[in-house]
Amino acid sequence: MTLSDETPKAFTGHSRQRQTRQAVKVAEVVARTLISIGGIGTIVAVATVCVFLVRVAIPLFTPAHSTPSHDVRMTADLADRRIVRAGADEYGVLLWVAWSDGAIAAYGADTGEILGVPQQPFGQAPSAWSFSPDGDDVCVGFGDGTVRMGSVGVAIEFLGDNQVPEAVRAVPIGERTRFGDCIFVHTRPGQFRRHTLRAEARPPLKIGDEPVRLVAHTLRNDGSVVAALAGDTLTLNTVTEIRNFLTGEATPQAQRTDVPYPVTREHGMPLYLFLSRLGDQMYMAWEDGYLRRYDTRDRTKPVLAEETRLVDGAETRLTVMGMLLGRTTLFTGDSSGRLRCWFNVRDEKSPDGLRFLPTREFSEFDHPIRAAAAAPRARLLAAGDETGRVRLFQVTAVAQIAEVQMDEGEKVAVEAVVIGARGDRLYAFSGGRARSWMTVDPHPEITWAMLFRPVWYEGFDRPLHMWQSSAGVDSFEPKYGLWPLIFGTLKATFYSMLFGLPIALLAAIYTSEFLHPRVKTRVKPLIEMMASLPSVVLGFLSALVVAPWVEGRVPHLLTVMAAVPVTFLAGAYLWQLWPNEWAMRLRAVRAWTMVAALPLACAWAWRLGPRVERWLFAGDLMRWLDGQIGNGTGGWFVLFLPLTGVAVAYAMHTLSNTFFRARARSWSPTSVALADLGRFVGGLLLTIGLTWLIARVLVFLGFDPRGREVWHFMGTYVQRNALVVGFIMGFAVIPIIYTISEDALSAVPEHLRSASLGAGATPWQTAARIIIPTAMSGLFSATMIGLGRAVGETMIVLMAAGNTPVMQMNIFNGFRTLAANIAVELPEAPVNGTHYRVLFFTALVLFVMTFVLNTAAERVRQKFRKRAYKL
Amino acid sequence: MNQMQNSVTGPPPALRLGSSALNSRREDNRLSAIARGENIPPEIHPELAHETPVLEIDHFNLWYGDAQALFDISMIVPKGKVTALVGPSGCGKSTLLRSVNRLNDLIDGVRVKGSMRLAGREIYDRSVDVIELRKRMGMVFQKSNPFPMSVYENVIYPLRIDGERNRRVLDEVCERSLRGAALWDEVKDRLHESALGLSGGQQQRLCIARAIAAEPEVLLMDEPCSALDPIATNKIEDLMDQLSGTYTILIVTHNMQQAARTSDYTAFMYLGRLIEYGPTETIFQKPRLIETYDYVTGRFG
Ligand SMILES: Nc1ncnc2c1ncn2[C@@H]1O[C@H](COP(=O)(O)OP(=O)(O)OP(=O)(O)O)[C@@H](O)[C@H]1O
Ligand SMILES: [Mg+2]
Repeated sequence: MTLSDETPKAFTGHSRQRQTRQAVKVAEVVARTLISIGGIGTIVAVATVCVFLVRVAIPLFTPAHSTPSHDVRMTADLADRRIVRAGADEYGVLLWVAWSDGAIAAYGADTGEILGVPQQPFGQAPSAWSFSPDGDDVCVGFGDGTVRMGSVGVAIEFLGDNQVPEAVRAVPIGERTRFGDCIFVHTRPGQFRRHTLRAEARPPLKIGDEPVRLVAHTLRNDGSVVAALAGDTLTLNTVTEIRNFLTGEATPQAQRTDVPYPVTREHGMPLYLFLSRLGDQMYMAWEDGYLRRYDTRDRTKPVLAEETRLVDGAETRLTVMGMLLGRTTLFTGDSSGRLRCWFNVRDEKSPDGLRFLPTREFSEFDHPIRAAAAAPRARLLAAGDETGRVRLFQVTAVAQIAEVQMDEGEKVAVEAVVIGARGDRLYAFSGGRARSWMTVDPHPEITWAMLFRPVWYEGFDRPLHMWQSSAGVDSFEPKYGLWPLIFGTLKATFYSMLFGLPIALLAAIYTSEFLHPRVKTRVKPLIEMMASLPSVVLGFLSALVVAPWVEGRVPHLLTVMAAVPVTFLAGAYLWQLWPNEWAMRLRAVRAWTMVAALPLACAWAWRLGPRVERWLFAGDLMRWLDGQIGNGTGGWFVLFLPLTGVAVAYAMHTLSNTFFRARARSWSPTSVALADLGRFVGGLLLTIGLTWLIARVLVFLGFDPRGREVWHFMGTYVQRNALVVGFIMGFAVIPIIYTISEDALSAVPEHLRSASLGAGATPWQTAARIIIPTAMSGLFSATMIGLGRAVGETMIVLMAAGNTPVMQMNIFNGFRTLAANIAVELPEAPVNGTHYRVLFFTALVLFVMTFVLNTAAERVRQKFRKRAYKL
Repeated sequence: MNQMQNSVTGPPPALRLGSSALNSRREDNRLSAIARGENIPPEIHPELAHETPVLEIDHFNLWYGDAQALFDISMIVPKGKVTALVGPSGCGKSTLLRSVNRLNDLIDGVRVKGSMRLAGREIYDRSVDVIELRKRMGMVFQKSNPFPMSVYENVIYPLRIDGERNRRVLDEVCERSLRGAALWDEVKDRLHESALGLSGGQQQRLCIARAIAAEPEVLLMDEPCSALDPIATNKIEDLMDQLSGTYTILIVTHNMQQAARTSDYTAFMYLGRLIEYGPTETIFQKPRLIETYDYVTGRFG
């Protein structure tokens, strides 16, 4: 017998093969590969979504850059003519210039070559011009006291192969050519684009006898409004056209109103006259910056509403003035180089309730501003100064997009600026030269400040956080303030956690610590099944069933919320009155008494509801919430009742317990129970009294819980509100919080429970002192997962929150969450547009919010875990 | 009565002592009879009849579901004395201990029959306040189970649940209990650190400290020294010495020397039954049953 032959004797009768089998090794490799692929795939997928969101959102923030594109000399004799207005088509192919003598000429943007001969649509040299900032319409006045409406613009037509002249057909694709007075562009095989300058004028309309010095106009649906200063008479004319059915010829007719016009020579001559889009405001400005604003809401009775100064300093001159898109905001430029935007803001003290205020200021220029123009389709403003510097601004964002120089060498004053219709080109004119630049900033109106800081939008009293992404009107400015949405998300989360969290945690503690294990195995799956309820159903339920039902029963519900805990506590104290033996014997029915307490509480609270409404809310909650009746006491009372309740309970517990216990040792159990009951009743009365006192004091100090501010937690009642959403969304988060926290509580080792109970602790003491602290990390996770669910929940809030993006804590008002907003708006946002990208950015914000939340939660959880390590 | 009869009819221990042919009679001794399921009455020494019982166990049976773990146990635990429960693993010592303070109530499917009385009052009665009952009995578990809290909070836990807030009282109780459990010197500088940072043996002594902090009438100890080194074990035994007289101690142990050293009475259990119960000296030196002798001398088990 050699050593090698000596195999170990099999103890179990089975000799073990020491070499790992090939199959096991293969399985190992396969499993590891599959798991790796799955894991990495998941990470990659999540990362890809994130990267996608970032990629869509990033263009919003890319800084603008501009590149010179053309520098041409316009072939026209310039003798003694001044540019009144210039324009360009949206492709940057054709430029036009209206000269002061009434000639309107078209030029090739790339060559400067004049196209055909200048047109003279008005026949004679106008004495006053009025161009609309956002359209082709124009109105001019003449020395003979007449005005003519008309239009100037570039007509663009798409033509087929056979519709264009022979000579044009040979142009290579992508190239352009001049033909007569138009430019053809060969866009793609068989398609040409023709750019033609169209200048037309309607028949003249006599509005006065003296020469027209200033004119302003606006087109309304019911006819145009023309304001004119002829001599020293200022008139407001409502122009309607009467069409001759036989000839088809239209004759304008004016309904004229004289506007009170105190002639002031001290300011020199008036230089500017403007009408707002609806013709309800008229502005007249002098060279020294003096401005008169007329209230023309009633066009038959114009009123001088305000006089103000548009420039600072006595020497400063007003050099340019115009209107932005929407014709609500006016911009002014002066000789100090300051550029400002103005609009009317509500003001109680002014006679017509408005005040004309500068809300934007651009002080980038150091030299007098010589030319400025607004973009036709965006709130962009371009201005050029005396030294040839040209800047492009986004007005609402107060952001400079481009800064270019007319001429690097000699300093020439800019005579006119034009922003291309798409906002992507900038033109400047000076001394017969036209320069153009490409400015690439696809989303000039989006800056971090626009998204996250209060913005003073046109027509509002002060800077506000606002989300309003679309409206019916073209001139409408989208408002992309994200705070209302973030606020809505947090509000939804807050209220749903307020309802859901206590219920879920208490239910979890109850099932894990107090419920018989056999019952638990039935109850738990039942609650978990709640999680599979589609949130659409819950949303439907809350919007169409709960919301209408709750409306009108709020006082009852508030009473029930207070009544249930009071009834339970009272029941518990009454139960103690049983002699001990009896109580032990009756333990089986105790659970049923508890169950019975709930409907009992609801029943008496329901009867008390109307009375509570009378006591707290002056008999009509809806009107009370609206602030029409009563004072704030009731609201504060409702808010502080639970808080004082807890405080009083705690105070009584700490203060009177030792004292009470020392005495109670010698008492009979019944008298102890009686004393307990007495303490409870005393505490209840004390709570009510104290809360009332606090409420009175707050009201006395001038605080009212009702209102429209962010912190007002009550206010006008809206049917679909946070109360309903919180309640229903509470149901959506309960199952998930419940399940996870129940697992966490059950995972606490049994030996801790035995140790605590063995030391004589009651089950509740064991739960509160041992089980809950030990399971804290799990409970915290559960809460955070519930929170995550609430933050991202879409359907319920979409259906039941009313979706108004208001920032009010008001529990009786609605809100709009980030998720619901995306669901509502993304389908109608044009792909890759600003709105689309902003929506993706909100998705990113949501992502970041949950990420921050989860990370913070994880950190806290780790802390809890460390405390409870080694179990 | 019954006990007396048993003790009289039992075979004289001298007969069997020193017998060399033990193995040959294994099959027909009591233990195999019990294993077969026969009902054999226990040997209870008459000395016990003179003691004042604090705990009386009367025909007590316990089932875990369908499996019976305790069979018809009848014994008294004398007041102010140390009583040791010995027996092979799985014979139901812990179960019996847990039945005394009704911790078995927590386990699903446990059923009991028979009765137990603490100071004359029925333990298994619906009208009994279990919390109050447990407060009268401290328990040290077989497996150490400190709470995930500070050492200090662990020790004064029984006082905390009683609502004691007086710092002086708490500090004093904490120190005394820790000294009693021979832990004070080791932890006095880390009273406010987590108890889970203590070693296994320290944790066990902490649990002992917690049990005595409750000032129980009856102290139930389930192998309190199994994780302790000889020095600590010695100190715990000293503690038991000090406590006996005022407190009643019921201790489970696998250490025969310990049982012999510390206890006044020893009960030998086997497969859920009480086999022999008497003064420790007698049980260890001249038990009535050869099986007991075999067990305590380590020849079987
Ligand atoms: N929770 C339980 N459920 C079912 N059976 C149990 C349970 N606890 C104990 N048992 C069984 O009851 C019998 C007695 O167990 P017990 O723990 O009382 O033994 P012991 O004497 O303390 O043993 P040891 O000395 O090993 O601690 C054993 O057979 C055991 O398997
Ligand atoms: Mg045991």
